[in-house]
Amino acid sequence: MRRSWRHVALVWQKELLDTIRDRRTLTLMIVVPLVLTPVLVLGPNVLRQSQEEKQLQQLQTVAVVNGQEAPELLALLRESGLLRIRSVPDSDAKRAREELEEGEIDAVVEVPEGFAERIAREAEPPEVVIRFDVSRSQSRTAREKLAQLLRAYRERVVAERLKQRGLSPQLLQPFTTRSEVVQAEERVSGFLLSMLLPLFLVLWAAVGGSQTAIDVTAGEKERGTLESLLVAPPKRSRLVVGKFLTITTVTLGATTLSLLGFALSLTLGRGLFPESSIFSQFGFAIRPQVLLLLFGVTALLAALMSALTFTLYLWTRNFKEAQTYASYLSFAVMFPAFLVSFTDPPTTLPAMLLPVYNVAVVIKELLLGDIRWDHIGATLLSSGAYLALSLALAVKVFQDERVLFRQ
Amino acid sequence: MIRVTNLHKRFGDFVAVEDVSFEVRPGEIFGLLGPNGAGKTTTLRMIATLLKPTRGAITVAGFDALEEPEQVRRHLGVLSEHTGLYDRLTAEENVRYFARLRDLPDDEIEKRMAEIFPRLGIDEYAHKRAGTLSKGMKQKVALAIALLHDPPVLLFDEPTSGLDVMSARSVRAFLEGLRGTDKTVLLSTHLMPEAERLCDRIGIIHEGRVVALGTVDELKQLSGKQELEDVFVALVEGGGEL
Ligand SMILES: Nc1ncnc2c1ncn2[C@@H]1O[C@H](COP(=O)(O)OP(=O)(O)OP(=O)(O)O)[C@@H](O)[C@H]1O
Ligand SMILES: [Mg+2]
Repeated sequence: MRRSWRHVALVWQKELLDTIRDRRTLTLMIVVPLVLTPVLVLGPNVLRQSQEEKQLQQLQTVAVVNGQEAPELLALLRESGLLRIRSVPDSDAKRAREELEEGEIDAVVEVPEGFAERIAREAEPPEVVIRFDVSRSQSRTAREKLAQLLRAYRERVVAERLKQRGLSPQLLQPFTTRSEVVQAEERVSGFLLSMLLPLFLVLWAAVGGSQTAIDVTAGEKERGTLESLLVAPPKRSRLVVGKFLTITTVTLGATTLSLLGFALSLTLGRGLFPESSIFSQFGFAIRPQVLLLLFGVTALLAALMSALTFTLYLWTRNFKEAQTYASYLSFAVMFPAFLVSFTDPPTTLPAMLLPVYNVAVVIKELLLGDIRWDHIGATLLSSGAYLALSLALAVKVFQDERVLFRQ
Repeated sequence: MIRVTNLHKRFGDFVAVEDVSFEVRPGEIFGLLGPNGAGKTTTLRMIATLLKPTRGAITVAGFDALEEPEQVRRHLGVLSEHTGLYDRLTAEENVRYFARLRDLPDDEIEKRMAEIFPRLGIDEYAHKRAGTLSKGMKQKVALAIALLHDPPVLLFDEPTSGLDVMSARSVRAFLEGLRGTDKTVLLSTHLMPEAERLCDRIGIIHEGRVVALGTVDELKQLSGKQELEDVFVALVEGGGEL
């Protein structure tokens, strides 16, 4: 008994050393989660922010035809600082339109004759026309700004009229509204996390150890070391368990590192974009019990995937073939992970027996602060059963000479 | 010793080894001589318990290969066709790993390495990663792995193939040193001079069948040829008939 575990430990130790010395695997395990993840998470925000800033900083040019007819409005437009305003006389109206069509200016505002005077008299409401080019984003932005500024001016006129009649401007605002979020802190912090983390954890648990899995199976075949190993006395099952434990260890290591990378990105994100709601919502308010359950289901998934990939890659002839299967596998796993992350997934008993899927569902529920023992039970029991079956299959395949010496 | 009786191996419909029988006694070097695809590696793999015979019996050091494969492996030292070292482990780490899998205690392993490494000239590169070694150096490390647990029975599959002249010479000299010890040695080769120089007895194998068996002199007498190569060519071209 003791001797058999010594063999398992020996194989595990050797394979881990071998993995750690493989620069490619190590790079993949460290660089991807700790460098690529922050870049992927923060990159779009950096880009979006700089783009928005650019748009805001850029002043669109607007020609106001007949501006002298509306001095108050003109002043408001100028003082806003949002637009570059050029007041032109009525005689230049045609030229202004041509300039707009040619893209030299971004919008034209046409003020009718006697605008200010008609407002003062409270006569028939005069019509202000905004001309813009719908095909240009600068022009669309100019129109949005103009519409906003005109609305502000209208509200100012209305308030003025109410005041003249001795009425409160509040007459126009019989009530106000305010929205408040009722969820517990855990739920709020979990909401966005619950979309991304199942995806992350499931993917890493599925493919985080694939390089090692290929190395200890197809890699050994290709390099001819498998034959040296097989003429050693230990029972095949011990070699299988040793290799399986290596893959599981590496997978869990990779998953942990990727979680660290994720946490790092969020921390950085909160520092870099303090006003961004995406980052401020991630307050990790997760209880130890939930964390333990999260680790448990993830570890079980990692073990299951390790046993399955061991068998799959052992069956392939060489590195290249194994790598092809590895990419198919990550696609196959991505599907349920995406489904769970971005939809409201079904949680009937048969659904909760589906491997990978059930783990993704439980992770999502846990992150939303929802501990469903029936789901957790179904997931742990079924995954445990699949793991036992996969390991039995792995041992059987490792004894099959048609697989080991495939030509 | 090794005893092989009426050994058959089929891969699907293809017959790789057909009715092969021979015996190798302690203190003897027996050579399986045959062209590419003759079935040498397949025969050695069956003896090493890596492949199951379709039919026939194998006994190694008194243990039946089908009944007690682990005991057979314990009494075997094998040098396989591909040298089979882990590139990212040093020469020494490779040797130590395989020795530990054979349950040798650590102090015993160090003692044996101190004995064998100088004999094979491994000392100078014992701490280098196997991936950086030349083919000849690797082959010597693989020899050390095969010999470290001092097994009574040794299998060598084409021990000098792919080596340069000097490396091949030194490996051959080492193997020659095993003659006259109590080891049972079975080696495969497709090189006539190697077989002639190293082997006490030779089995010529062609298309899965042993077509002639005996000492080099016996084989020459049987065929009336002066050179082993001529014996070989006559056998192979005659479809196994002399
Ligand atoms: N696992 C296998 N599946 C199918 N055919 C095989 C397998 N292993 C060997 N063969 C076939 O059996 C025949 C004998 O192969 P073997 O490797 O034993 O020859 P060999 O004498 O060692 O030749 P070589 O000098 O090329 O090493 C070859 O035709 C080979 O293609
Ligand atoms: Mg061969």
